[in-house]
Amino acid sequence: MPALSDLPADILLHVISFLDRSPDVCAVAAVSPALHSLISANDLITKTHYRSLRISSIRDVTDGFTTLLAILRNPKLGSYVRHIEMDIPIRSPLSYLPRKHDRSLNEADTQLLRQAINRAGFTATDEGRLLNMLMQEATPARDWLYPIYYDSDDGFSGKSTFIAQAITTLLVASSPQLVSLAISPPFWEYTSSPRDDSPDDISLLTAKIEKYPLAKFLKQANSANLSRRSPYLGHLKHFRLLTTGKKSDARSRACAPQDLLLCIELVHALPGIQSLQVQAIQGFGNASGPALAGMLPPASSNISRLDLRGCDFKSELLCRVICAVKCLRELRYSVVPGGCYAGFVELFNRRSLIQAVLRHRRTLEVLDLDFDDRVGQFLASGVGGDDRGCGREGLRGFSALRSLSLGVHCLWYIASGMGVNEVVLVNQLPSQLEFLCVRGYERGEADVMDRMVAGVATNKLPALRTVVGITQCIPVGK
Amino acid sequence: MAASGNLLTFVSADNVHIEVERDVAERSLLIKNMLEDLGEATEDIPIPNVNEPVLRKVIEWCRHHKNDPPASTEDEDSRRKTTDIDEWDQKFTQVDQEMLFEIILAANYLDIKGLLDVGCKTVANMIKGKSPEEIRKTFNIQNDFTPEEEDQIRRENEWAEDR
Repeated sequence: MPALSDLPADILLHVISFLDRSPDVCAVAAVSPALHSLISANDLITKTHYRSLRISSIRDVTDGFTTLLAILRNPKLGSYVRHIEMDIPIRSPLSYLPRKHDRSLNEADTQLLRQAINRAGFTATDEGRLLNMLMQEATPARDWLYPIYYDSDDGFSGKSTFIAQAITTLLVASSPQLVSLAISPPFWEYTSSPRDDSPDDISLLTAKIEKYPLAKFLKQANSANLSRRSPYLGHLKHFRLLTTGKKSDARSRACAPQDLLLCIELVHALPGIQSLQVQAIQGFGNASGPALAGMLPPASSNISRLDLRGCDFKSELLCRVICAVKCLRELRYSVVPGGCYAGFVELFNRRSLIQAVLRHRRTLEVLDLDFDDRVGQFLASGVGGDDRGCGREGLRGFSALRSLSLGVHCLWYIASGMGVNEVVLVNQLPSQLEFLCVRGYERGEADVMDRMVAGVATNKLPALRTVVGITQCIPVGK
Repeated sequence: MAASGNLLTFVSADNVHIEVERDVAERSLLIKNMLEDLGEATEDIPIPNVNEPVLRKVIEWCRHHKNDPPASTEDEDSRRKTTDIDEWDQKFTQVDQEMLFEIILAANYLDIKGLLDVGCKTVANMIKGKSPEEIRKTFNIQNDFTPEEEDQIRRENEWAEDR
């Protein structure tokens, strides 16, 4: 009978690869001489220690600086980094004011920092400014130079954001194998944004990015046409904006306004980027104003998986994001309870949204739109597919679809070729569909919906493993 | 008993014949590749390294997961972050340790990546948060270190403990 110690080395290595904290790997190394030599020979404690880096507290900022220096002294450590997380939200729109260094470093380390700053694309005055940020301690308590607009109970001063951004920038720039990056929004967003029809807004957009080192670094890298062999960001696949969470301050509590297009333009053209995950943000402004003219053009984004949950966007903005994707495999969108756009036909054109989705019907594997409305609202936005035949084939055109979750009326609108045909779902669900969720369906409420879903749960398609929302109602938005 | 149509016959190490649907069996890359090479399997397929009870468990897993999308090798690193195991798999892996290791070895031999991952994640979850002594106790491993060696390892790894 086998025991743990009888497992071959490759399987033990596989087990250890699932331990994400280095103390756990240390503990395994101290279990037996055989495990100790296996772990040492593969440098697993160091690899685990550096695999995932996180900056979300004052102590993390100090540790992050130590980690950065260790990586700059020994670049091999940077090649172990796969995930970086920086969760220190911006709390005031004020600019960084260079000041006397808190830290003191020897000449060799200062030189290493300067070289790393240059490699990340910061030179001349930017170099000095970034170095100045790195040389500050994220001192707790208030700092009269940096008043904060939103109070917080974690003791961050206004400058902590800049220090954390500077450290994160160099960590990202020194981690060639980085796969996933999660950050709080890296630039300040005004609640009423100058995002309307004035051409001056274009310069405001640039200014918005300019003073924040991480935002500037990502924006530059994103437009630099990097290859997968680039010393940084060549392997980044997953990007997540940390907008909700543990903090109780006003900016992260509810659905905060955020410039979605600008956020996407931080990463969307990176060579390996696959997924964008955003939660609880509200898009705003006039999505077709001159300030937006050049932003996120159609088929410009390498992102293939969009996960936008608890959000609130005008359909125009959402369509723009969807159309910017070259090849969309996954789309998840849900509206925050009380969202102000989805309820109005003028602000949320259902037909435009569905047509934008239909453009990707051959590649979409997961479609999850968690909002719904009365049939009349859908029909009011337009009936029938467009001239290219897009939409007339209902769900049949979704040839890659494995998972489908829609509000019952939205489902009917798509399946009926946008309100044109009678629908019997079993006849048109894609054959490889594995999961179907119908939200907001109550049996007996409307004949046309009853006829649509008839037989779906019993007449199962070959691959369809799970059907929910037919026998028991699943409310929309829950 | 020879295979017919979509049914294959596996013969376990302890010589028990078990019928299995072809699409279920093909969760194993070893079997899938073999069938592709052979064209059609007309004879029983020996699985020399796996005993009947283990083989039945493996087939049970494959049957439940027969429609899973093919595992992508690309996403290695993001996968590492999550050691969550779906509910069905959690129940499936509630077996005694020997059976768990047998399943892992069988999944490795038969090249069933999803099952190998589930097994290894389960073992990783049994390790998390434990001291070396607790790990030894959990897996019934004898302590072969001298106190001096233990001390030295502790000092060696001190830097990585505090995180």
